[in-house]
Amino acid sequence: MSHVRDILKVLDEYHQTPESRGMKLRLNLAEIILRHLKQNNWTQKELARKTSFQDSFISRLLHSDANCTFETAGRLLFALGVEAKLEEISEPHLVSGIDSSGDKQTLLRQDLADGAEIFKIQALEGTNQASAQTKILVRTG
Amino acid sequence: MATSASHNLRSFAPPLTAINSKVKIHRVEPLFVGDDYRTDVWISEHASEVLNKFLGKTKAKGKEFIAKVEHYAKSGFENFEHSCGPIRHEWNRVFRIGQRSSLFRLIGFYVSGKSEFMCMDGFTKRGKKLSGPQRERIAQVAKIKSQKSWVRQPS
Repeated sequence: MSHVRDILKVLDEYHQTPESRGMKLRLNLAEIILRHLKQNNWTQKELARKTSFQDSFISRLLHSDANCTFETAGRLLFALGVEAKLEEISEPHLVSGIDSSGDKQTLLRQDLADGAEIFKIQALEGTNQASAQTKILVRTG
Repeated sequence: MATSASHNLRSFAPPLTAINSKVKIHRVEPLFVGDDYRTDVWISEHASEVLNKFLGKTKAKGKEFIAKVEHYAKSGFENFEHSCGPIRHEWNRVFRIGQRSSLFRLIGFYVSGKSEFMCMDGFTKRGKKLSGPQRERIAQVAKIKSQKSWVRQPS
């Protein structure tokens, strides 16, 4: 089915644009708001009332269709009783390491903001075996 | 020779005279499937054709929509499910993934709890309410779910 290939091609092109970075932040904010609406058992209208924002604006935020200033985001988070911050997502890079069975592996490492690291086995060193996609979660610090 | 027992059975169970080959089996292909995704998203040929047309017609809005669906899949569809959110229950366990700015909807259902989502159809709403044909399309997706008339086709 070539439609899926075409769809993924469009997505790849979008990821190369600066707009995609802004979209990711809007999605993160929407996710936080939705999570806390559920936890507080609030409707969108209630959040609008508590923040004095228009219901339609809240709706656009929940759909990640609206931009907002940091001040606006702060008012929403305050009303929900939430603290949040922007964090850099580090790029994954290759390191060598020892896996849980003691074998030396070339690992794809991705650092997470809270100090935890996720390793994926990229390839077995010294062999031509195809890589296994095994995750080993290691906490550091 | 018909006995009273077999006569009673015939009253409740029509005889099997033919296999129903008229039930269409919908093949679904991976759209967002793998370790990176908390909700694996599969898509039928029909839904991918509809989605592809939408992307071709709308350019910027289309790109934003598919980027959002990918993010929902990575984060887990449940995190964006809400009566006010982009992922909502329609009826009969059929859900829609919607874009507010374009009124486009992808329609599908969960399997394996909520770890997988099967997209079966899509359309663009024209007004505030769904039209009759659009409601019928949702009903058809519900039927695909209840009949389990779909099969995974790895790409």
